[in-house]
Amino acid sequence: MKPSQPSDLFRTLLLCLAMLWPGTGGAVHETRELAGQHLNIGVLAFRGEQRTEKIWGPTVEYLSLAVPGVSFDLKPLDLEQMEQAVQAGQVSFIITNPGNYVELEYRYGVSRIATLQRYHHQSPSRRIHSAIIARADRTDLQNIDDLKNRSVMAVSENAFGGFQVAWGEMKQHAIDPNSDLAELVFAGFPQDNIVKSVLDGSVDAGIIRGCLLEQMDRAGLIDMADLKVLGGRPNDTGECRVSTAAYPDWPLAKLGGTSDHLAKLVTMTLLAMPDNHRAALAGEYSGWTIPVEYQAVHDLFRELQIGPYEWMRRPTLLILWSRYWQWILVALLGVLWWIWHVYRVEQLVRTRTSQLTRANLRLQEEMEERQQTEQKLLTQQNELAHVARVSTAGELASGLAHELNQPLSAISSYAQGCIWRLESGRITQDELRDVIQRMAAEAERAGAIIQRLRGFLRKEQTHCKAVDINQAVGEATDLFAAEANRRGIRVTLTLAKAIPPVCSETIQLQQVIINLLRNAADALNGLAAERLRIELSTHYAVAEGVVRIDVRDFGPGIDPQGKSHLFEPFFTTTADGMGLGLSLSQSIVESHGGTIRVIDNAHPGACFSIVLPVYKEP
Amino acid sequence: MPTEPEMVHIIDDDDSIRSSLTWLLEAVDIPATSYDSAEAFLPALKPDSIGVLILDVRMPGMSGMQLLERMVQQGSTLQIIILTGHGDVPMAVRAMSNGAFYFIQKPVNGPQLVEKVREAMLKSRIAYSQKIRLDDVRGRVERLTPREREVMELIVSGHANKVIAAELGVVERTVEVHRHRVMEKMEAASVADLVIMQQIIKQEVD
Repeated sequence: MKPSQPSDLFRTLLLCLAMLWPGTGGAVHETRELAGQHLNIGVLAFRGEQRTEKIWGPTVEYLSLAVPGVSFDLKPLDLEQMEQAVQAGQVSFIITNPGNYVELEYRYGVSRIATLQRYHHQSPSRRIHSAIIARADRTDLQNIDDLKNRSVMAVSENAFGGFQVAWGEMKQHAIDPNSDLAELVFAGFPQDNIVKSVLDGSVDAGIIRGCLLEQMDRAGLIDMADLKVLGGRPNDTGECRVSTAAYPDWPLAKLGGTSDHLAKLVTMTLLAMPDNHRAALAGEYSGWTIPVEYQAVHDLFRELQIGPYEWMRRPTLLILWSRYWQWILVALLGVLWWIWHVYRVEQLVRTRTSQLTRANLRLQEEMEERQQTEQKLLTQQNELAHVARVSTAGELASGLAHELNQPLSAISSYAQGCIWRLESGRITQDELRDVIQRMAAEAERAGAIIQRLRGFLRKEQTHCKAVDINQAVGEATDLFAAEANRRGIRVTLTLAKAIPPVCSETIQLQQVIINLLRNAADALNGLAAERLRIELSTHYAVAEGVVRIDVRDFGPGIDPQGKSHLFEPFFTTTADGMGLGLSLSQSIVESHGGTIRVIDNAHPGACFSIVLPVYKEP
Repeated sequence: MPTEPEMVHIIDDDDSIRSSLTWLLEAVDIPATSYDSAEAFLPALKPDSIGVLILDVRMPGMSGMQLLERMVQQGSTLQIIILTGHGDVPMAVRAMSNGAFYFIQKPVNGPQLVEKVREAMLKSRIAYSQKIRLDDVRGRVERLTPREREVMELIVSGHANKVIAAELGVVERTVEVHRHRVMEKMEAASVADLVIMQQIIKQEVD
């Protein structure tokens, strides 16, 4: 065979590239690490260990010599042993047929580092074919379709070029070798036997690897004229007739655990194998080349549903389960987790929502409470002001009593002393005069005290000014609004038009009106909602020259027995009242020259009227 | 027994009250002096004297109640009548429980006041004489030697000299000497006197 120039050039180029590889610098160091290692190379042995040793022994030897510090041992393995060895990691590299390689690649992650180059002039990716042969005189057998119901012989079910490639071709012709043939016989190696069986007519057709016929013909073992290739077509080189598409040649592959550095060294060594090297000659190949694409093998196996695609034959769900049960389980768990998660999230959302609702309610309650507290505070302030007024009045009364007691006490003592002295006749006229003068002085003192008090009560009159009672009533109603609101009482206002001003001090007048409103409100305590009403109105009695403010409630009215005591201090009908309101109010109104009247014919309820004289210009 | 002038002390910040009460009391021959504050009265105060205090509760400075408490604390023999204004009943009750003799509301009822002053004066007189007597007896007892006190205890218990001698482990003659000294120092005319004096001290102790 003539060495091909482009192929040599390519090989040299590759070697150079390998030298320039980054990390090559560290190769020396790494090579040292490999020193003294014994590594196994597994080789698929179809035809017995001896033959395998003979074919592949020199190649392994070549590697041992070429890779420094590493010695390789050849391990001839059948298909089953090959899988076991790869699984157990007993080998570092394997040399096997494309079908087995694809399966191991799929199952154990072995990866090809070189592909066998059988001949210089033939592309290693289109090297393997099958030939389906029959005797030349069998006119009934022309095409692959004609194989139906015929007996066919092949070397082995697992043989790649010897059966599987042909099977693929038959399948394309809608022939299933297992059911559509009259007989399928596996005869084992060597394939020469198949040729013989076809020739002697013991089988209708035989499946052999491509180019075997031509080889046998060249060796003078058969006469090509006696046989024909069904569906025959020439191969790429035109040297052989084949029945099938072309598939790549055997690869050398490294196991997942084998170091990349070592794999690189091995690849470089293989690629650098000189022409006509002893190893190449023994192995009947011309050399090694960079690994080719094995996709065609994958496609074939998928089509045949064998090797890595064997699972495709089984019912889909079961296959899926058997192959992917871990993933399905994970997915199922994932789904379960997701369902649980969704449920949990829902739950959380519900819990959070109800919490929020509760918080909201609480907030509302707190706000209401605060409002109530504020309302209460306001009321308390009002009440406090009321109490302050009352206690001022009380203190005034108490102070007044004490002050009056002093002169009265003195007068009483002087008088009693005089009586006793007169009785015992031990008093002179001068003494008597003196004492009586003192008594008169004390009486005057008492009078002055009373005068002072009256002045105090009447003090406001000096500030008397023209006041619009409508305005005073309006302001008083506004002041009372909060309390009325709290107690659910409706206050209606009816104001007379064109009402003349009265003589008053606004604040005091307001106090009186509020006082009457509060009394009216107290009278409504515990009544039905429709009776919680106070009518406030102003009137102008032209004839009398007075204006009138009516405060009318719809309560139970005034107890006839209590009526005469209404304006007395400390008279009260309510449990917590001081009983000073009306009496004080009356004092104030009287200091304005007016009066408070009770109208008891306002059934139901009571009507209190503040009557004030119309303001006259001084 | 030394005699103290009986006196009514009027303490009130009101001029006319002081002068009218003095006028009233003097009309029935009760001597009275007056002070315009508790502070003015304190220098003149003799805790052990016969007298009555008429005290206004409302005064600037030290109040009537404070003065009352102070005097009760000192064990004064003076009696106190409180004058209160209108509506001071709780204060009056407190005054009574604090040791006041009585309380009278203003305006003062003359006859009632005089009656209460007389009663108070009587009580003060008794308290005073009791106190004088007690001091006197105590002074005499202090003159006794420890042995004489023992002998006196036994005499008061009604034992004859012979028994006392046996009790104290001395001869009868010695007891007779002790007895004579006891009677002399205690200024007792008879055993009965001695028993009374013993009673006075005991009452005080009780």
